[in-house]
Amino acid sequence: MSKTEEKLKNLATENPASGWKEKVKYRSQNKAWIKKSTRISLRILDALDENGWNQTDLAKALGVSRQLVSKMVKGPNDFQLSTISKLEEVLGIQLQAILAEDELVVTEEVIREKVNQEITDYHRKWAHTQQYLSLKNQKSNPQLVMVVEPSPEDDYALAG
Amino acid sequence: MKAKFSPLQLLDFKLLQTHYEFEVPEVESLDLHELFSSYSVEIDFELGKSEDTEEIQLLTMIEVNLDKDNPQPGYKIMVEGGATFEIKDADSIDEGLKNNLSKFSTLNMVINNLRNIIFQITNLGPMGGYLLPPIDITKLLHDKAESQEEAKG
Repeated sequence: MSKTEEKLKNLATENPASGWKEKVKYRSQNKAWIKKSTRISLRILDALDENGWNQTDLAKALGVSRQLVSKMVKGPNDFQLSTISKLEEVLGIQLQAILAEDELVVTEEVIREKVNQEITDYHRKWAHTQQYLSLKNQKSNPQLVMVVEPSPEDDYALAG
Repeated sequence: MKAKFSPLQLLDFKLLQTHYEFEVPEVESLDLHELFSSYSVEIDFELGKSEDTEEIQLLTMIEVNLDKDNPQPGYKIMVEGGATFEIKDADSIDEGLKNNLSKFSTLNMVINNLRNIIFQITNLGPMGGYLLPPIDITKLLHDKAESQEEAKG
């Protein structure tokens, strides 16, 4: 029996040695916190980039081993509140917030982006309107006026 | 059928002015179709081109039943809109087609937008929605060219 055949046979048994069924079950049952853990890990990695730190720097700042930091960023990791608080302190970031029922998380970055977008949209719209108004007052901007010439081709549709 | 997009792009449309008035008819029974057909329609427009961006601006005004010499009861409407267009890959397009797109199609599209606006405004009026009749765009362009010639001469 080849190795592949052995593997397939093993996977087909009720209790395969790889334990993939158990792993899938575990992931499915713990989906909610695993997702949060992944987000925390990604935020830690982003913060390391922003600060120009590597995992060793973070390990030193936290007073833990390099291996533990590696485990934190690889995930999933059931972070303790004390670990999260320490990470927030040394990295200068917010990793968790307790929200009231009708509260939403809006970061400063999102607000700034939204305001900038609104300002840009407003300026673009106003620029168009100004062009229409200057067209209306042709004398003030004669260069802008396009002369309408009778077209040599009279095959346009007659209704519009 | 899958629709092919035109190289003419409508970048912006703004409604700049509207005027709505309703004059109560003196007679009790009126053929609305006949009345609407008797409304005079005046259309004026200005075409402009920005030198830096190659965008085309078109300002269009439509007046319905605002002719003082032949006033009709019912709606008196004026709408004015501005639109900005751009022709994609203009350099690779034939001059005739470019001319057609930049003058005929732009005007056609703006008049259509204004027609919808007029309909929406009048739809709430006592006589119901007024649909601007189809307009001879070629004649409009010819008349505009002539008036520009006269102004020059």
